Amino acid sequence: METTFPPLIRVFGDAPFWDSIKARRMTIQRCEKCSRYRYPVASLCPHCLSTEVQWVPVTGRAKLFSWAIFHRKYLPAYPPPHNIIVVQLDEGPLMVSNLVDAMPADGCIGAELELVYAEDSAGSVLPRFRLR
Amino acid sequence: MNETGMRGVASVVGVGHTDWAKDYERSRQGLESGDSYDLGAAAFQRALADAGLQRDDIDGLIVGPKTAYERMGEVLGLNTRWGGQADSVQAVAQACMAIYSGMAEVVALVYGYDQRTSKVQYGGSGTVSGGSDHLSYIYHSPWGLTSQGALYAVMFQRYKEIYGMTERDLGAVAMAQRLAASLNPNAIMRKRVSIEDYLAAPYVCQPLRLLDYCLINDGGVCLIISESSRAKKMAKKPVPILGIGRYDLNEGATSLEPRLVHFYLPAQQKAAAQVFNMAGLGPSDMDAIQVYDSFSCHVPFALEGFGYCAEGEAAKFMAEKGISLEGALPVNTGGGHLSESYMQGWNHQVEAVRQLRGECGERQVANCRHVQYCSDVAGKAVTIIYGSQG
Repeated sequence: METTFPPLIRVFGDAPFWDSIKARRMTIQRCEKCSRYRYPVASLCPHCLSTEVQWVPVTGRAKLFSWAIFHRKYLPAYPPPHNIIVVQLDEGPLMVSNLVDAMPADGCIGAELELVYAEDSAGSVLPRFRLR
Repeated sequence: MNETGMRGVASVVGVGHTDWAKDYERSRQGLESGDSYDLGAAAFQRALADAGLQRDDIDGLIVGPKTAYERMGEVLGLNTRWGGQADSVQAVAQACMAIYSGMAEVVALVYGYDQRTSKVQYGGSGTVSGGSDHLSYIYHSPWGLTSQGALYAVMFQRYKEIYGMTERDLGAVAMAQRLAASLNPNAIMRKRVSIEDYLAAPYVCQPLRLLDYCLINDGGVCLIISESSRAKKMAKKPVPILGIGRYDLNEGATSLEPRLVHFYLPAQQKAAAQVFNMAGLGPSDMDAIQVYDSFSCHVPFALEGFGYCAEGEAAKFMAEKGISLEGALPVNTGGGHLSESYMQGWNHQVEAVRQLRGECGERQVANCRHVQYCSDVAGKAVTIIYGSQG
């Protein structure tokens, strides 16, 4: 089994996001004008179109928004059963991730989660979540 | 704004497609049936014959997203005064707009895709399908979300937990569409399935099972759409396009907001209002509906979004009213993507036309006068109403 994560998908302007994860202090963008958080990275706020932006650390608290479990192998790094979750960060945005130390099950939407960091053998770091 | 402006202006006058079941068998044996252009060209020949038209009657060409417009035009020997490239439902809309505006009079819509033979992957390593257009198809791959099935799995799981729909309830879709396919000689998967068969099928991406997923097969489809007064002189009874509606939810698409927060409902409701207004009809006037079904759960979402039942009531509607050929509202009467053929919405248009012509034999819906096509793909809710007379 491969122990390295699939390659990160980098888009223009998201270096502060991935750098902050590597430093285990995840930050996302917040609009300076209307104070809304956004994810993934964008050069302007989709609400007010302001380009003024700050990178702000997240609290790490989130709620489980939805989940699914792969029962087929799509990627060498993730043999089945492999879960994916969608969380709603306390800051507002939705984010796709994985649940660690447990498998999701019917009825778990709304569960309180906390951010953890997972590192692969090549030193790549991903934000993941566990039940609080 | 004249919202009924395009009502009945254009009609479908010819349909054609390749032999999906035969192509499927051949591809399973490792035999090729032709590339995407060959498949489209074969469908084009049949649609011309169906309409009783000559190639030189065609003055517009729209090709599907997997073939280049110029090359398809070259293969078909078509010089045109208007053309483009679009997916199935947008191709129909564009043909109507071209005809309405006077840019073309008889438009061929040609789709060919050798997706099984060319081993197209909808998930896994190297998944880039649509990545440049839809970041959500690739953005979450570090965590292992690469398949479009998973996008619908998370959507249906949230719906399940909010509204109490069960996996057994969802099984009604696969069963209804297999019943339709069992009566359709063109369908690939014709063996009927029970709820036990459905629940025994393995999960691919839980909560979705194998029988919730579309097929992957090669094939081609062609529709010929004509200005309606000219359509009346053609070989078959024309099928007028009575309405078109569309609304797109793009905001928050990568982080799956339109899909997970409201299940695309606001987009579907706006598209529905537009199409029903243009057609001067409502849901109770529809004798059957065709729903874009890359996954079975498109069906309950469409029933709610396009106004066939209230929000959260789809399971009840499917159980009490019924969505099979034996129910009150037959859905995907040819078997759809799950059982007939995965032609990315193109086969649904053919089925709507044939039902309205009364050509469907054992699966014919009695007195079929109006058929609605409903799709939501990547946040675009698009819908068409076809009629049996203008």
